[in-house]
Amino acid sequence: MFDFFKEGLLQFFSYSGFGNCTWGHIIMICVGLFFITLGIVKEFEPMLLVPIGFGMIVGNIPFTDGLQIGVYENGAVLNYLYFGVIKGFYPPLIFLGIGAMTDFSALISNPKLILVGAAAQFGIFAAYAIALLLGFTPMEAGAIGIIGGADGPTAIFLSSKLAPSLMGAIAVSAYSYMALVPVIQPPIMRLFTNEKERLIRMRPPRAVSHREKVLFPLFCILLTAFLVPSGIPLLGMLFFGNLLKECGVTKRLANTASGPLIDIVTILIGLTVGASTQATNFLTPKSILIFVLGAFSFVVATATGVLFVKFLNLFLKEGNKINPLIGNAGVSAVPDAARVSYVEGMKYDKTNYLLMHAMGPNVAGVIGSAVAAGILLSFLY
Amino acid sequence: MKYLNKILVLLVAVLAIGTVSAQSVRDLRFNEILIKNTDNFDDEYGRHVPWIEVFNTAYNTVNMAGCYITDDTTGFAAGKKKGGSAPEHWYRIPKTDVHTNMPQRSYLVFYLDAQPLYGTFHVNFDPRTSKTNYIALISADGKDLIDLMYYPKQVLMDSVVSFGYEMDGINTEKGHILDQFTPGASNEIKATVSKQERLKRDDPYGLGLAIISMSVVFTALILIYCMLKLFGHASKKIAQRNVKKSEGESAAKAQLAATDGKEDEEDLISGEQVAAIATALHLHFNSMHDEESEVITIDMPSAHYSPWAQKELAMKKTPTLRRK
Repeated sequence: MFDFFKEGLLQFFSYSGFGNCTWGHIIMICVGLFFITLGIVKEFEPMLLVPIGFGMIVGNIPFTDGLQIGVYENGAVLNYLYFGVIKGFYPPLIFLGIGAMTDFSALISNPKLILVGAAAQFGIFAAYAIALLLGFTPMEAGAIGIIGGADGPTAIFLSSKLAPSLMGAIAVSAYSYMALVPVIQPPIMRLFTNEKERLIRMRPPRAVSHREKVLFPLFCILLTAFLVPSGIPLLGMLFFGNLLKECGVTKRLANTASGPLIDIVTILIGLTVGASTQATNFLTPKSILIFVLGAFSFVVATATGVLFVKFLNLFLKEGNKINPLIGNAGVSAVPDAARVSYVEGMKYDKTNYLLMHAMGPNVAGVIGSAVAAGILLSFLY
Repeated sequence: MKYLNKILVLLVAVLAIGTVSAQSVRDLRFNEILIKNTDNFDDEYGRHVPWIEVFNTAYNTVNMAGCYITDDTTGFAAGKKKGGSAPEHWYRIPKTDVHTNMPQRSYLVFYLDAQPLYGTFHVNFDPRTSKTNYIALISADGKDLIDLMYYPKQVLMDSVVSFGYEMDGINTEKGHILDQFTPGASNEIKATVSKQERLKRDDPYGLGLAIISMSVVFTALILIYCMLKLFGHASKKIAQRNVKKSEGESAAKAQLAATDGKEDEEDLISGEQVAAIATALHLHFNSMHDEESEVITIDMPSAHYSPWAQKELAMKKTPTLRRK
């Protein structure tokens, strides 16, 4: 009787999380807790870091295989939810919501800011080149490089196609750096600008008519999708969402896309991406390299954005010049990067409001990173 | 609107040119030919006849219906006809067969058996009896030579070998006797390398990809920039026109008011009133409230008094305690 009791307990223990726990699991759970703390206490991208952090905890609770509970086990609930990440249909839905939330007025009123969004994509390709040198395959390098686009859904979309095995690390890296934009970008912005440039006042944006706002997504999808058809899933949804918002007759659809729909998908994508970072798959030397390369691409993207504004200023007349502090916003990461520009600008001139100006390159960065993802997909997939 | 029209026309033109050039039959190339067919690829009747393979080098679908395949380009410069019909050895690919639609980077095999009645892919000449040593592909209007493949006729007549290009569709180099027969498939048997491997081999440092990609990103965003610039000009013009129009209207109104001898004070709204209206609208549209069927108002109710509407009368009164 005692033996039976003892054996039962031991068997139960072997099925429990305590019996299967490794240091890897503990480390990943700690990372998850750290993400949640960052999200709640520091309020760094809480909408992303809280679901991802919780997903990490859920995905790293040790269990014995075969119970259909893990994210990688066929038939498990988490596996079904993860399907949207693997097949890449969550990111376009998020882009639909982003389109329905984004006001492109700043960009329409000052079109040259769109070029800043293009320049900042250089970080993607710089990271691609370095990743190749470090021994990653071209497909893996492309998926890693897209971290520099500072766009979580784009990173997930591309890595799910090019390097599914690295998707967890890439997604976590992309979202982490997006959350850390207020920490990473300001030193680079200060490094490449001088006092005089930081005080540049930009001309107030002109009023944008309703007609322009409606025509913008229609023309943009035609121009970009014809050029890069592989970007259609992201660009199509982005501009469709924006048309719903701007046309004025589909308010309910726009509200759904920018509200409940994007919230649901964000919850699912955050939780499942977090859960996909199981210690056995995640804690590898490759993941560490991905984090390093992600940081590198972020730094390069920010620097090229700022430097490109300085380059543009060489050709602009006095009064039309652009404050280089908005160059960082070209990396996408809407709207945090624009907020960083604003905060940095305020440090040097309390009356210089850069937020609206920074939104131009910021939304251009979204378009630019989606185009870049499309190009990488067409070359590497 | 003039500018917007210009943009539209420009865009439609660009797209039309792009579409036409992208889906052109000019992208078709002869890829492989076999004449002595003893036990090789057979047609749908089980016969072993000479065949030639066409490759679509484009990255989009191309329909080759209407084009001509021939072994005799005599009179080519004059176009397809003398008197409306094509020359004798010109085989016109029928337009009614959907299989002539070639998907991107695909292959199509034609049987060179001089039996055009056997089906769409059976031409009306046979290289074994032909006087020439080439096969030509000519456009539907008979004026453009799309591709011309010379082959070593005697070698192909004497031995069971196929002739073609080692790299699909690359006919800048001389053709070769191929090691393997690959009708309807890629000739690149030896050098079967994946896209990734080729990229790693040709662009080991990623510099080429970076330059091409950045160029494409810039091109896409510069196109949007041009579009937005045109938008800006158009909208400025429209705004100027509206201002002129409203100035004209207000001048006419002022004249009318002067003749009437009074000012139209009702039309003027103060800044405070505008702010109050805007705030009220903002609160109305953005405050959280569900759909109420009733309206709370300070106006006097228009309905007459009815005891049915008095909630108090419908409720049981609380009993009062009486002490003796």
